[in-house]
Amino acid sequence: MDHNGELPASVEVKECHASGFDSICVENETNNFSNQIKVWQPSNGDEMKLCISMPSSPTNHCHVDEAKGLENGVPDSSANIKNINQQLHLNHQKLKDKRFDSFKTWSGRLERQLSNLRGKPQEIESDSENIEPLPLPVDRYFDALEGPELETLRASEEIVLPDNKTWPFLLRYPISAFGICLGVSSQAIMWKTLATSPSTKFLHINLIINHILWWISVALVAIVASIYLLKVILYFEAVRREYYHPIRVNFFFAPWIALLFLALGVPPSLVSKLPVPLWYVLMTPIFCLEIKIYGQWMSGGQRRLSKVANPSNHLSIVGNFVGALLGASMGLKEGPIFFFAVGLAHYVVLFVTLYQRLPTNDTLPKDLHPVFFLFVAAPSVASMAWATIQGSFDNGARIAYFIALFLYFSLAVRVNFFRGFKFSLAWWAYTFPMTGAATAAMRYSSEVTNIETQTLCVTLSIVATLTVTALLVTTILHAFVLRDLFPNDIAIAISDRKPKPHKKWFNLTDIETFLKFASSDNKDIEAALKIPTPEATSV
Amino acid sequence: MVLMHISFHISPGLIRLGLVFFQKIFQGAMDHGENPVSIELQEYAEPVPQLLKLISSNEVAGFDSIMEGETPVFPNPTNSSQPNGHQRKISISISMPSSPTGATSAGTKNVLFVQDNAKGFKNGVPESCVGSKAKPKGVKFLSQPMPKGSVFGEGANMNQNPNVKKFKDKRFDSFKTWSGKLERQLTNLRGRQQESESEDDSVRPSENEALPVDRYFDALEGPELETLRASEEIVLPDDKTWPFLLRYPISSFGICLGVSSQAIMWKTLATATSTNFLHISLTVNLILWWISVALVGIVASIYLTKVVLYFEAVRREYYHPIRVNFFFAPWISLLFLAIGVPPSVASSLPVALWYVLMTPFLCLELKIYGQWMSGGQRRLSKVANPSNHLSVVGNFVGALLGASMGLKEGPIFFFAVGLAHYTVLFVTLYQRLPTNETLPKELHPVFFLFVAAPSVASMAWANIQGSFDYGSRIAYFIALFLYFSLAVRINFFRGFKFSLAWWAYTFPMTGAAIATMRYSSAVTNVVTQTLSVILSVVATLTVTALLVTTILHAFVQRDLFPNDIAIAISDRKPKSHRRWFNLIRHGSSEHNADIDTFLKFANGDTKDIEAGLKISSAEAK
Repeated sequence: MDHNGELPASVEVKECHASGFDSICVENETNNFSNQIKVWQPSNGDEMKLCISMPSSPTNHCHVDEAKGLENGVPDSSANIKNINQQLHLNHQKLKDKRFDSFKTWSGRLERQLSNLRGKPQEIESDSENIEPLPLPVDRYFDALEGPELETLRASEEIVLPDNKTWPFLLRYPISAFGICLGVSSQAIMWKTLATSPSTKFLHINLIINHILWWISVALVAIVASIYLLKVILYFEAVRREYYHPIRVNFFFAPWIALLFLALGVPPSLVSKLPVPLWYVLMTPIFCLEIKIYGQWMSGGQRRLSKVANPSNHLSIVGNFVGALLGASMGLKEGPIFFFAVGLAHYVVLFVTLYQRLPTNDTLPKDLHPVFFLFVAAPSVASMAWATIQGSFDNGARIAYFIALFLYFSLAVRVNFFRGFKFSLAWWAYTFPMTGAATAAMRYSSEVTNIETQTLCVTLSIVATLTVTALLVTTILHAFVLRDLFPNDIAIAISDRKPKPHKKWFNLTDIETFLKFASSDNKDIEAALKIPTPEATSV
Repeated sequence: MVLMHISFHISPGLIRLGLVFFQKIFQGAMDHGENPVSIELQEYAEPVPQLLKLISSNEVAGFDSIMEGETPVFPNPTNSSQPNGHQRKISISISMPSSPTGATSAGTKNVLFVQDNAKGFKNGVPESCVGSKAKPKGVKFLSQPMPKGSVFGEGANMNQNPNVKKFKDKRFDSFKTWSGKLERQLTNLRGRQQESESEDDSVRPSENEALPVDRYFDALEGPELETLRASEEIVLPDDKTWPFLLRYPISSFGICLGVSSQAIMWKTLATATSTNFLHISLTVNLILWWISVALVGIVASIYLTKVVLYFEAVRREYYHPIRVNFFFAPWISLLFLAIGVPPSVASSLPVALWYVLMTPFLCLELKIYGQWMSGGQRRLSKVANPSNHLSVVGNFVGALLGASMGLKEGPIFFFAVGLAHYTVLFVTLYQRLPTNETLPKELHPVFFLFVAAPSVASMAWANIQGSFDYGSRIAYFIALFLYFSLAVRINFFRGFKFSLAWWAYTFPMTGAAIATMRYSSAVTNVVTQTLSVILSVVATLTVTALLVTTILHAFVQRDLFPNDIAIAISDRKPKSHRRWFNLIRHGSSEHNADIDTFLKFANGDTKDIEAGLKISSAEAK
């Protein structure tokens, strides 16, 4: 970036190439920029606008792209730029349907490769090499997105998919949809416990409810999973981007946890005893994911825990305890303890890290957010798991249960802070901790049966049921009335380029504040720093 | 540090010397812009050229003891500084900056110096420079450009003075216990004052004070903090091989750890009920035990020689933030010897032995954990490194030994201490705080120490409890998961330069194998037995491979003990002005990346920016 502003034209065009265009764009580029998609602003030679159009190669090696841009027949007079701009305006309609190609599994690269195999090199070869998909660096996610779930685009950022129209349904379908399965199937478990637990016998609850809920959740899991499977097949790039998203990756545990919930909540009339191999089958993916995720925490790189810690990490922990609970209730011995131990070790790490609220934790919501209810999940499930392993609700189980209870109360008294958030499908995942706490309260009150514990478990069950019902109503409203249940999933469409990196640290005092960790105002400061400085650009 | 001296002894001579000193420091900065300090310098540089040479040459060399050697070059430095009385003291204080407050960057020095300079005008030079008291500093700036070439050329020439070569073999003297200070003290005791007292005064603090831990972080890099950064220099000659003892690190005790843990493993293999089917004889254990006894004897006696002969080197190892953990290794290996003692040698060990062995642990732990807790520069968020596990695992090994001896309370005490601090360490290491400068960015063999503590803890708890209960199993499974988690990333463990410290990283594998045998004795089935056999084979193979590598390095490549850079870092920041200078031009794009990465905590470039920030705040004053 050492070229100084002697040749303004060449600099601009180079920057345009720094975007790393996708194949589609490059095709168009060879036609003398006739089919550029995005709208340029011809006014101040804004190279950044140029970069917007279709950047989807995940590496942002600007230098390489620049050099290549110069080679690829870039017109070296600045007069061309305005012509190009006009042509772009004319032709940008034509390509609209191809804009999602970079996310499709079968449309873009592969099709071209197939045609190349057939001996038809209809495009420039060098371009198709360009788009080897590398994972988007995690930095980009932190830079481009904000919000407690890293789902909102920052003002300065652009996305690679058109943001003015609704995307294909599968692209808008996030992995957090499995949260619904978590919420409903945990309800099935709760009603099963309500019906069978000795302490709630006085309620005379029928197992029919469990039966109905279980079948509903089986259907839900099947539907959600099959749709997501379609997405995996058709839009693999989108799934990959979700997998590399620092928050979303935790939701990849949700399908397996939902399956574990289904196995836990299976109505006694249906199956009295589950086959043991089922447990091993269900735990294998969880184990592999854990090796991956916990290894990322430990072994450095950009996904270290001090950076990505977020309450949704509990989803990656709670699977251990749910698995231990299921295994122990099946009568297994060593396997459940293994997962319990792994979960315990990493839960301690996560718990401490989340409580510390390190200033480096970009992903931790500044204020309370429904995601914080996940705090309740792990200890309440752990208490049940330990009770099942141990055979009785002993002191260990009680310690875990009381931790969960305290955290629940601690969040419940702040329920005012939980309003005013935009509804999202991920909220479903935050209901199962309540249900889990209610179930644990029933287990506890079976051990210590008196009015207080019975009242508590009834209260918690009612709260959980009400929450789930409210969420159900909201979801139906959003799905059928407002029709915005699946908004454009910005999180997967961030571009791989930093928009204006040189303006990040405009003055030294900001860095000083940052170094002193005085506040977490990073984003504000960065926003304020986005003042364009021409002299800085031309350096 | 130097500045402090300057501000204390206010005198014109001091100012001159200080100016010369900073003239050298800012030599590199001068081509970038007008430097008021250097211009001011020139006025004082002219009248006393002789003195200037002395200071700059001392400064450039920066050696402790060679200073003394250089006195023949300037037969009586005190005489040369006679014209004003304070100079003698000052000249020495400048050449030996070693006070432990290393936090001040060069930039701070710069600014402070200007202030001190003004003060000096007011107080110290009443008769000659009356006018300068009233004048602002800027008045002097218009004088002719300073002949920095001449002053510096002379300084450089002095540095290459042939006389220096004569003292080459004395370059290691500063690390010797008997050659430097003590010898002088002895002669002083005998009443012979062959050197000027003032020099002694100045030498003493520099040798008695520990190197600040900052210096270790600034000067060294790498996962074991053993590689010198490019900008740094060392106080020992780096072009020749040092004396063997200076190159002999405390991490050599890692060999004892590796081998004596193997002795324990083979003892367990021979005696455990679950591995009876292997029909392993106790002879292997006996042989390995005697080998490890011999190893411990050899390694310890050599290190003891180092302690006696090169105490300064040992002290520098002790203050090294990573190395200090290896000071637990000798005692852990003694514990291992006690645990692995063949039944034919001793059937039951005397209880008193346990107390004797655990005393140094308690003392070291009080020191190390206290440093974590009580702040200062060695706080855990800064020095955390997997090798800290060495300081935790001793508790569990001690608890294991004590419980197997039949003690009750002592083992639980150490188990509890270990558990508490293990939790802290585990969480800190997993978090990978951005302030953790010592944590390797990528995986490194040192990460296998993660496995050590939980596997030993599981055995210790099983011994305390009397059976391999749930507590033991939880610890054991944690160890197993960590082991798997590291094993699947085995690809990342290649490409590191071999070092003796790797031996210490084998004993966790052996420990995991032993714990697996204990576990499979409790839960005997094909899976656990297979697992214990596999882990034992892996551990044995690793130790064998390491043995072969060590022998290769020792006898074929002859680089088993390279120069131990980590103990020889100088106590001065070399060219720190380069750092803040970058930031002054912070509008330029090439440093965007640096600060950008820092903002994202991508790496540990913290120091660069902090150095820069210090100057900015000082400028604000």
